[in-house]
Amino acid sequence: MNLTAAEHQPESPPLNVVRLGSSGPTVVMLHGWGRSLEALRPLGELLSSSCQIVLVDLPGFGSSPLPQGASNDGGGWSTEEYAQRVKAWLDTAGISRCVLFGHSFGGRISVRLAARYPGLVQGLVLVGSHGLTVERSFGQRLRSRLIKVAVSIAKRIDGLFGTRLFAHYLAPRFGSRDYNAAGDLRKTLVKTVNEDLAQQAGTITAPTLLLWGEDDRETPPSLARNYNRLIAGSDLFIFPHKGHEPFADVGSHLLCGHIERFLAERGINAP
Amino acid sequence: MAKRRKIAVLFGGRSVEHEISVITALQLMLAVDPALYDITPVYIAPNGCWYTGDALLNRTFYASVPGSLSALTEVTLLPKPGINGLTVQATGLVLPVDVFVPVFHGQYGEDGCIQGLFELAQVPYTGSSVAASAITMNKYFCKVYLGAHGVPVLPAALINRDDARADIEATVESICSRSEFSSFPLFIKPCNLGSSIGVSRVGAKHELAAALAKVFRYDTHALVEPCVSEIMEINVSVRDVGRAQASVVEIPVSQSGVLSYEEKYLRPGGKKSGPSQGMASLSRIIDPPDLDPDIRNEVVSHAVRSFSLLGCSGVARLDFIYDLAAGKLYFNELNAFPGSCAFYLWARTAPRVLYTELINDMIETALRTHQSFASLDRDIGLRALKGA
Repeated sequence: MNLTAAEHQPESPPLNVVRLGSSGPTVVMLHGWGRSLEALRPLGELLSSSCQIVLVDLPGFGSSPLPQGASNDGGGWSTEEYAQRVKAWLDTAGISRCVLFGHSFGGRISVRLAARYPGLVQGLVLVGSHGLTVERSFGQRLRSRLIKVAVSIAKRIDGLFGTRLFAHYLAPRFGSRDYNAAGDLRKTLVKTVNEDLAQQAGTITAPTLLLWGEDDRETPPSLARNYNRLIAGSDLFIFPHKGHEPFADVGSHLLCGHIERFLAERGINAP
Repeated sequence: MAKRRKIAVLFGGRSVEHEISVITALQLMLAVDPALYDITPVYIAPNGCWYTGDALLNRTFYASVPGSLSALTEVTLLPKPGINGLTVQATGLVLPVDVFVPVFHGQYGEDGCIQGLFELAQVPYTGSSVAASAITMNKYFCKVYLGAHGVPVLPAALINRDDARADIEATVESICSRSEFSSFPLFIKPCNLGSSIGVSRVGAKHELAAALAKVFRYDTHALVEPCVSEIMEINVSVRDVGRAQASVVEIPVSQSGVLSYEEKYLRPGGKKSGPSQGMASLSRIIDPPDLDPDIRNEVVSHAVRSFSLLGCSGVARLDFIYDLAAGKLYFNELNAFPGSCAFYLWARTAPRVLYTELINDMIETALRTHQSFASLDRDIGLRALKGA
């Protein structure tokens, strides 16, 4: 079911945003899971000499409060709700055309927005973005299956006997770092972590740039190549010797150059 | 995509600034655009041997040196024109290189030595030439040269280690007898080193001998300078883009009055704050908005002129001292290859220059300079010998 922002408007505590730059296309930058806009600020500052930058703390991260619905008590949000929250903010801010920059978790949200609102998105830059199923080896699949069975058994035992096998034994040992650190966003993490946005990616028409680190273990370069196949006309560049955050440290200079060249070559200017 | 140029990034070296060179090089290689350039890292170990291998791109590798060197390939640059690459010691195989990028601080790398080897091998290299590197590395020669061209410099005395060791009391007396050094404090610093290594602020005559001894651990010559009591340091970077172009200026912030090696390179490197990023992580005020525009303009003007007078190329950083009490500006020193390549200044300059663009421009300038020199006629035959 396709929902519009007006039809599906999650509750809206304020979003913390930082604006930089005064001319050029508007670039809205969405950070990864567990991070904040500060992770992207150095890159945003460099880009601000040619673009109008909007750095966003996604709901529940940085200085943006956690919406009740995204909390564990509220059942958690999918990236659909995150996308709608960002769209609602853009509408309020009067931004009708922009380039979306999404890193990791922010990439999932950007893919949803670019697929849903082609008129909004002038260009899309995905960096180490989640959103597609990662191909796993037989060993990885087997391990995952065994953990799922163990979790299922532990939860039944916890339910029957009031023990805390899952929380005290399984989660700390087999849960991901993000899972164990998610706190009140754990249900949101569980909801979003296995989303497959292949169908949405296949409908994206905005000029798209895919920037990836060759040594990225969280979103391996195979994801980038899949996005490259799914998004027609997308450009892909894989940086050797860089990981999941290729914009870290002086990498911000390297990525800034690639993004500015992409915007210039694709004729993306201020709307 | 156009064919990528092969660049050899050389670092380390036989200098007390060895590890600063490693930090700068690791940072620089992360900013090189892999769409344009293919990097061959070349590490010159403290023993002077040259090594290459992908392991050199990993910062943790250096914690295990020299044991970890056995995993690398030993290479060399032969001083023979036409090879155009590095020669593998064990096999004689040549690894082609289009441009050499020396990333050294201090002796043998920033002082014209390795530049001389590049000239002998007739290969393109980034940064300043042999003569410019040699003069700028020697703080005394640099001051004398620029002073002769009207750039304001503080008075300085050059002390030879052999003379001082022969008669330290006479050396101390000769320093104190000069009117410009009659009042303390004085600065005693190595003539040929950077990164504030071996620098002392001497408060009384009886401390001079110890300060000189400290310098002579690292250098054969010491420089004596008066200490400006009300001091403001102002730095600016200048680069060669066919003409000398200046960056915004910076005022480094010191907690002790003199920037020490620890403040430049070790202070931010604690476990909590992550590894040091060299000069880029120093406390500083970049493009200070309340700096008198006349002082700023004077700094930029002297910096651009000094860079050109010395025949520098690539990216340099020039450090000035402003005497707040007297309202006078003095050139202090020029770093032919500054820590972090001074990229943090260019990122704030208008128009902004990315670190990646700084590197691109250095490489392209090196190729143009090489072509220009290659066009010179160096062979007039053996007319005198044959005629005889």
